[in-house]
Amino acid sequence: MTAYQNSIEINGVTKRYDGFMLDNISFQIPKGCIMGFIGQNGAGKTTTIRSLLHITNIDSGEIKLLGLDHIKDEYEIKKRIAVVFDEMPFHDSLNAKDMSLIFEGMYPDWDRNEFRSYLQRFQLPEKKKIGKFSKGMKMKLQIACALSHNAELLVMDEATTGLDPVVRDEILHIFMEYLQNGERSVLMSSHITSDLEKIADMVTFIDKGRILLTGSKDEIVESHGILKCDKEKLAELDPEDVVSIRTNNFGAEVMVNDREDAAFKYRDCVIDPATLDDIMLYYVHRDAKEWS
Amino acid sequence: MKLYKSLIYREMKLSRAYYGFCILFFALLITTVLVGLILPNVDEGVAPGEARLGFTLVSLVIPVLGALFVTRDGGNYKKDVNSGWARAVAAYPVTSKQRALAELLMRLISSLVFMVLGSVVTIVINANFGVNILLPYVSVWMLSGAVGLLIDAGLGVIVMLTRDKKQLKKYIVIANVAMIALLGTVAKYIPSFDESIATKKLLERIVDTLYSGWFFLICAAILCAVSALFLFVYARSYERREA
Repeated sequence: MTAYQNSIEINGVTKRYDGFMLDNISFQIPKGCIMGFIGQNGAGKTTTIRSLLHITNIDSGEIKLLGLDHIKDEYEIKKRIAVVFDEMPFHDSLNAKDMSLIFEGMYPDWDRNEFRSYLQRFQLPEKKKIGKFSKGMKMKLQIACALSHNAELLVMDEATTGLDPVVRDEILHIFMEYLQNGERSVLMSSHITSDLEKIADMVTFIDKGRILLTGSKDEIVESHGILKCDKEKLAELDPEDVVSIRTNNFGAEVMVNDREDAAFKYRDCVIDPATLDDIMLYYVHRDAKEWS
Repeated sequence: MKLYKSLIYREMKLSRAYYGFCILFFALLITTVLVGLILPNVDEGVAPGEARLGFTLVSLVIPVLGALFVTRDGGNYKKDVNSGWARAVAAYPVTSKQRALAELLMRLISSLVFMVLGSVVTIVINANFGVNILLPYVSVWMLSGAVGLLIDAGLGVIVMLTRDKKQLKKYIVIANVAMIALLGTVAKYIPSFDESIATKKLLERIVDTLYSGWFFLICAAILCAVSALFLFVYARSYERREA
């Protein structure tokens, strides 16, 4: 088995579609980390995930998963990773027991007892048809399948979208447990940033097919801030410090990309901490610069 | 081996309704053929030569229709597309060739099971009239099964050539029209059967051919060739990645 530092390494990946392009994207996920992959709908999250799983071909660039080439070593990689999709791909007429029998043949490390313990924990019936499951139950079943073959990397594509907060919280808790041995990693694409604020170590933000931010979640959140000022003050701000400006009747709220530096430069202004949601929102409007 | 067991199990599970239909159809077909053959002849008796000719031609409707139904796709392709499995399976550790081979094995195994079940007809006919039709029964089963696989391989090619659902429907309509035209053309060359000696001689020659060892070998060779083609087409079809 290859020793590796990064669970995922994406370098200069480009993929062109009619009307959309993944534009030279690069990011890494170190072993043992949860990376939140954020961006609005249509930003390129799913295309990136499909590219790294080799469901879709890329035009250029290089992708490595678990230190292996994503095309040459595709089937070796797929034995050691798990994928959870936003929609469950198991047929309605099958049940959880059937899924165990199916995956047992596919994954050499499939652990039937582990799977059963997840079913018990999630209170999922073994013999009930999947078609009769609720959305939350279906997602839990997918996660139980994903976590029962000792996968080193878990890739989730909008898996918590559409679930109620209680189920989401339960699932996030399970991911934290899953990562405890320090050898496993998670790539979690979502536009529910509150989930990622809870569990992600790193964040990559994609917009219109380009990576705008990637790195430690805490560093990204701590470096950004929302500066509140009146409209006259806006003229004094250095454009280099500003991501975008949200104007309102009373003045403006400005996203600054270096909160500490801005606190020195603009001592007479209040700078509030930014959330991932704020960061996403202000970066999406970076081209317009001013918005309301 | 464990992988194929899993994949075949999944295919079988999804095909339960289709195979249920096949069992009913098959039972009805066998009953109709047996009743049609036995009842008129059981009291009156039948000359040995007549029995061989008549029983062979009538009873072979069982392998012709049976194998054709059993080797076809029972709707699993559509189910896999609708459930999202067709797309998601690309993220699982199974190659397109393994999937295609599992698909072929499933069809050949189910075909074999139905062939053995249907062979009860050959036993009944042999027991009652002393005509052993086992050899032509197996030969025709293989030939008809090959036709079933060939039709699905053809549909597989159509699926590979299409980009969307609308285009798929168009190609299937074209393929059906072409098939009807071909059958119509072939039908023109089939001689009309009457009570004449010439017709009888022709039918006897056909039946002799069905009983020959070389016909059995040709049918086996055709089934092998079509299976290889099916494997190739399905593997290519499963290999196709998103554009």
